[in-house]
Amino acid sequence: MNTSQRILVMAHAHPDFSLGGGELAAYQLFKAYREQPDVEEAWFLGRADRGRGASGAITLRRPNEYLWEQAVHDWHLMKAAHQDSLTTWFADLIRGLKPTVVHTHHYAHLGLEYLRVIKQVDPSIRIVMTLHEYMAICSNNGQMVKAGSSKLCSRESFDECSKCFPSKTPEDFWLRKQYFQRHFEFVDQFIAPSEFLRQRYIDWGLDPEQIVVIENGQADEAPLPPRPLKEGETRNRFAFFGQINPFKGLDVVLEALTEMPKAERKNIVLEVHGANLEQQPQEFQDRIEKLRAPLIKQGVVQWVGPYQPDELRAQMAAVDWVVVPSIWWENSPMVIQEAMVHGRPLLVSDIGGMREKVKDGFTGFHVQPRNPTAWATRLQHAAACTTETWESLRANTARPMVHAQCAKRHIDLLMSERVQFKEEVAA
Amino acid sequence: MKLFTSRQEPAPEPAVNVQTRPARFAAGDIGAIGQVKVDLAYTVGNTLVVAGWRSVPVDLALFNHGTRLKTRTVTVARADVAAHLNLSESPDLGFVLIAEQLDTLTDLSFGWRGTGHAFQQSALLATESPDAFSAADHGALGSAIALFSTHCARYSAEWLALISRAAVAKGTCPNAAGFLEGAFACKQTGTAIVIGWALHDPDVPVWLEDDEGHVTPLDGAFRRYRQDVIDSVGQTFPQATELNAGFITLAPDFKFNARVRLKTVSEAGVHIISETSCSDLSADPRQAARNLFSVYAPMQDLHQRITQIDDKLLGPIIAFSQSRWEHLPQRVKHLGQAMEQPRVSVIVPLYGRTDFVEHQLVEFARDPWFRAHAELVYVIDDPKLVDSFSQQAESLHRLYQQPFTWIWGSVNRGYSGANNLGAAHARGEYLVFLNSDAFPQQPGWLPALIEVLDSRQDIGAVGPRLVFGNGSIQHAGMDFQQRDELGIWVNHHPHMGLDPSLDPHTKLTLVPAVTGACLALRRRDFDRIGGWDTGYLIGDFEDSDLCLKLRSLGQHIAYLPTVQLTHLERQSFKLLGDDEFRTRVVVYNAVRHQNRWRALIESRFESQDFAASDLTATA
Repeated sequence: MNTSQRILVMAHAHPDFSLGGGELAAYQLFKAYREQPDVEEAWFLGRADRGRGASGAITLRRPNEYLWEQAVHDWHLMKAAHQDSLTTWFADLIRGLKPTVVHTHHYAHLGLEYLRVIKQVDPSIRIVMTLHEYMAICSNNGQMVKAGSSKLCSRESFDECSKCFPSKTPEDFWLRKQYFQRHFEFVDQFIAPSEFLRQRYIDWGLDPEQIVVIENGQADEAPLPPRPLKEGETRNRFAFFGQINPFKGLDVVLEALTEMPKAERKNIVLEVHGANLEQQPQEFQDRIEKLRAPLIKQGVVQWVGPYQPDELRAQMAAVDWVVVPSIWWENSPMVIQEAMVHGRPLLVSDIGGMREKVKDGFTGFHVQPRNPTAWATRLQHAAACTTETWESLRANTARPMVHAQCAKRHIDLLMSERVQFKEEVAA
Repeated sequence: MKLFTSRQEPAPEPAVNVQTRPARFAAGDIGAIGQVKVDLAYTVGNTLVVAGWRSVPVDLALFNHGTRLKTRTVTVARADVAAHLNLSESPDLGFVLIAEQLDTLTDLSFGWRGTGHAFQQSALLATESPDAFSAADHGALGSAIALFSTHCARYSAEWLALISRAAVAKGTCPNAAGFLEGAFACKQTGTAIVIGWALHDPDVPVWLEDDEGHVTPLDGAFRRYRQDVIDSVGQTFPQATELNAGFITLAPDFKFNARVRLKTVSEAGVHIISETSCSDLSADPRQAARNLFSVYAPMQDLHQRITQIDDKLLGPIIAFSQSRWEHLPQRVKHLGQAMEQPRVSVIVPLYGRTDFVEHQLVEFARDPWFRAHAELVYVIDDPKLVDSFSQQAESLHRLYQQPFTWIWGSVNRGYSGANNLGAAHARGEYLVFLNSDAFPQQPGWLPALIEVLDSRQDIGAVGPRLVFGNGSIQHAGMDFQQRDELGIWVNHHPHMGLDPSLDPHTKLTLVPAVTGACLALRRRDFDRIGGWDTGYLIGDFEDSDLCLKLRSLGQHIAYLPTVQLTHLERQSFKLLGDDEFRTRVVVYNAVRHQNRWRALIESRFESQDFAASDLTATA
């Protein structure tokens, strides 16, 4: 029996154009697949906007890497803008590549229809989908926070969702769920990077047997040595990495610092590494500016700005802790995995995948989300930690799976499924 | 002789036959001579009418056996007499004397009296019956001819003849008041209505008439109480028996632009109480209904008015608007390979939106039995959807690879019309009518419904359970509920909103009716009953009407709870009791529905009688 796989990895973006966690994880997995012994061939198809809108065109970026100029025109139902290319060029690509597996990481900007088309071209192709957020469940950018107030939301319901989106009726949400669920029926295997996300999807209606947890793989790098401390210095340097947007909760930490008595505050340094503040709503930009200006003046906050992925290691070397104060149910933020690779303990909001990945008091600390006072306390506590405590948190942190291991986990899963699947088809 | 008064008068002159030639008398002025003649003398019933002329004013009287009778006088213009006497056009040379309630009709005489003199009596009057009035007679009687109308059958041919000859009275009518608020006639169907109010003494005829002499009595009108009328003129007619002054009536003969008059008759002649012109009533059923329903009737009486008036007006208008359907072009497009011999045709009308189509295809595409045995027919019933659906259909077909047909019949036809159009193009042995917002929950729904019809020949139609998006019951069979305050029976969904586990029916059950949102029947039965009835206004009751048609031919209607579909039917819907157009449309349709099917609707549906027929449908 020929057990080798031919895997097409799909993502809603290509890292050449966009550096979000989802597409990076997909792309890294694609590269890792290619190194796997059981993988005969692997390709990457990333959605891209090459400046001419949703032409539907599929183009070769470099060997084994394709781009698809597709878009979503109806975000409520996740319908593709360019319908024609689904049953022509995309179908041609599938027919041509003859994958055994399509491992997709998203449908944003792509639409859901391609799932049906893959099975129409060849029902024996297996579809694996890694879920990176809750978009199928939640129309609010897949974040499961209430529109407007950004309050945490635990469960979708047609009436509740209609309240978040008054222009849509509860019936519109029934239709959305029907549409998503029916298209998800084409998926043979779901992957969740966190148990938290897995549970949310089971609550929504996925069969528990059909969804497993596999963490995103990380670079094969050794942990960084601790930051050398000056005389009398404590582990008081914190860093925030990520988009400067309302969901990442940076404003909560800035408020926490502002709230602290001046004496305490001067003990702490927060480095802010991130971009896209200027793309946020004006109200948020103003808020951040108002909070950071005095803190920067006092030297408490150092606003470093955007960074390239390859700069991350050096930046983490210069700090002791990484903070992830997100106010939504983060699934498996890349920054957490990266901090763990590089040996930097974490302070995270006490919800979602953040709570799952970090063990309070063992590998880092939990903080009540959206609570500046709680963050102030925790920051002070962390800054006052002894070196021994800090070292033990670092030592307790399990080394994240590297890309090759991650790819192997996936292959093992596929192989175990494959045998079963072949029996089903034969029956 | 009894005539003589106590004054010493000269002996009366010998009786003069004043009917054959004029009699002369001394008029007031010295030397002036007056003339008097009787042209007609009639008795009708107990009434004596004597008409004639005199050249100068003079006291006149009638006598019975010499006793002077209580008499009324009406003056009449007599141009013929004026000409004969060479007088200038002097009005009122004629007279009509009326004496009523005579004991006997013999020994009748006529008398005149110049000033100061005693009455000079004529010879006994020779009376005739008024059966054959001549034109000259009419002239002599003038407006008083109207009197005779009371003695023939009201609105009969002879009555009409009399009335048409009566002069138009001048001045206010003493015994009737009224006002015409509007008259409408539909040019295309010829039906007309008149709206207004009228209040009058008892026994006074009041009617509507057009220029061509078509008469519509108010007897058949629908009346309603008008406080405003009673307040303003109620005192004038304390005897009025009919206090519902407001009226709306059908006027079958009135045409568009006709001049319509509200008339009554007294001895002064025919009174025109009010007049108006006949406006155009739209031939569009919806617009005509809006106009008609804007004429107020208390909600509890509306059902009666509908039976009496509205239905007779709107029915023909509805039928007329549909008469052109068969001549209109039909656009039929087949996508994909049509099935040779479909077992079942699924027919879905589309109105207002087409996005549901994709969601239905999502379900049908994962249903192997559907793909193998069903023909899918979409009927566009909304001009605004045609262009976009044309493109959408191509795209959907390419993606879902489910063959389907779509049809556009040039105009909006309503639920029934659209369904019939779909059926006309359907080739299945069974027909399933499905709402666009009804979605099967799993494959197998369709063969299960067909199986019921296959295995039970006594069942004419079957419907499944339908649930809302939140899973609660939307339909579990239908029955009829009385709304006494509106005088109507409405269709009712028992157990609606409950969790399906609370549905008392778990197996195939016979029910009074099922909803058209998902209804299966045999093609031959559909043809036998003439398809869906399109006579309802806009739509409603059409599904129960179809079921009752089947039941009236001896078949049963069944509910199959083991098959379930989602029906997104909006949960906030028409509320009866609101005083607005929509409610009136419901009442209109309910009345039409119950007037056709009263016996079946009112009969108690004994579900326990059919307990023996509870069968588990075999899949």
